Amino acid sequence: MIRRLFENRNFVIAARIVLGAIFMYASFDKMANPQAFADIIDNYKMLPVQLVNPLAIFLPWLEFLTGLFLVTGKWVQGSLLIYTTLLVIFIIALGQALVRGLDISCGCFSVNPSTTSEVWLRIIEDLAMLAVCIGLLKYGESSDTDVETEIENQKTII
Amino acid sequence: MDKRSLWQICGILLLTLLAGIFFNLSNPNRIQFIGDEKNVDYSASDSLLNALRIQDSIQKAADSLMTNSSRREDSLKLLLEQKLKDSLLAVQKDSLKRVQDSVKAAKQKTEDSLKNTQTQSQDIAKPVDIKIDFAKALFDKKHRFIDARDVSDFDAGHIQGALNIPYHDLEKYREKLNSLPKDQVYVTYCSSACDVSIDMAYAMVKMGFKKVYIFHGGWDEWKNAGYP
Repeated sequence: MIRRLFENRNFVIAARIVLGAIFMYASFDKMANPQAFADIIDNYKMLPVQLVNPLAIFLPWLEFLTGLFLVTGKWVQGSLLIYTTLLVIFIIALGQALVRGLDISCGCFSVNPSTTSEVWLRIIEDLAMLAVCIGLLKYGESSDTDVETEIENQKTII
Repeated sequence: MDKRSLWQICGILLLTLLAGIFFNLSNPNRIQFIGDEKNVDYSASDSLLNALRIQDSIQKAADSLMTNSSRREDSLKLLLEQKLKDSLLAVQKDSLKRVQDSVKAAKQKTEDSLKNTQTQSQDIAKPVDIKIDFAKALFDKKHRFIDARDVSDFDAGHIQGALNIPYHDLEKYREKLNSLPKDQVYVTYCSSACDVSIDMAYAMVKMGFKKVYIFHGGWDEWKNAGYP
């Protein structure tokens, strides 16, 4: 049943657009306020301080570009692989914060520390997105493949 | 992973690198590419604690001198009434003068010490990291403690008399925080493995609070020390 779902072209396109839009939306606030995002990353206490600022600068752009490629349907396979990797990293970061009882702001969609964010809820959201990503990688045909197949078919017909 | 996916990943990473660099350079809120290490600097904590102790001891000495002075004055008055008025008057005058001089000197010292301490405190342009012993001294002096943890953590246990202003709900509590006098001494704390006390202290300084200390040991260290 799951396989059939991910073989449905409309579902695959919708899933890609939703996943991409989520990452693009999540990146805007972080891009605008890199210092606040750096503080949030530092609060996770996972990285040496030298890596905090580079991550605060580049991660929002990685999210944005990955999201953009998923929405536009270009470089889908590569984008999905990056998306999946990022989600795994986010789940690990949130999980360790939850286990260690760190009193932190998630920084998932907003860098405002006042934003209420239940860490466990974010983990569930990320797990759901991860499941969709894995489904797309395993069963879903990427947009690039679709286009190439279409071109091949047309060539054959001609 | 096939070759095409690998190329796509490399392409996305390269674009990310370029976009990140250019955007950060042109962003008015840009940050350094390599951040500075956050050091907890306790150097001010010990000197402030010493200043506070000196101030206390001088205050005590001045108080005891004042008490002795008044006692001595009373006894001299009695003697004055009973015995040789003229000769004792001279002695009393002399004695009183000496006591008054010593009280004056002690007062001067106290004022100097207070001024020094106040100057040190007024110089705080940013929050100062403090250890538990200085935090306890400030607690004994009835200075206000700000608990930056969430309400549930605060309810589970907190420093006696502390005010709970959760940093994660700062917007909600901003008015309450603003209503506090800005020129008083405040000590922020959270648990021990947290940074909200630091964030809160810097936010308070931004809001115009002049003397903010960060007690890094937080509630955990306070509780373990058996303090109220």
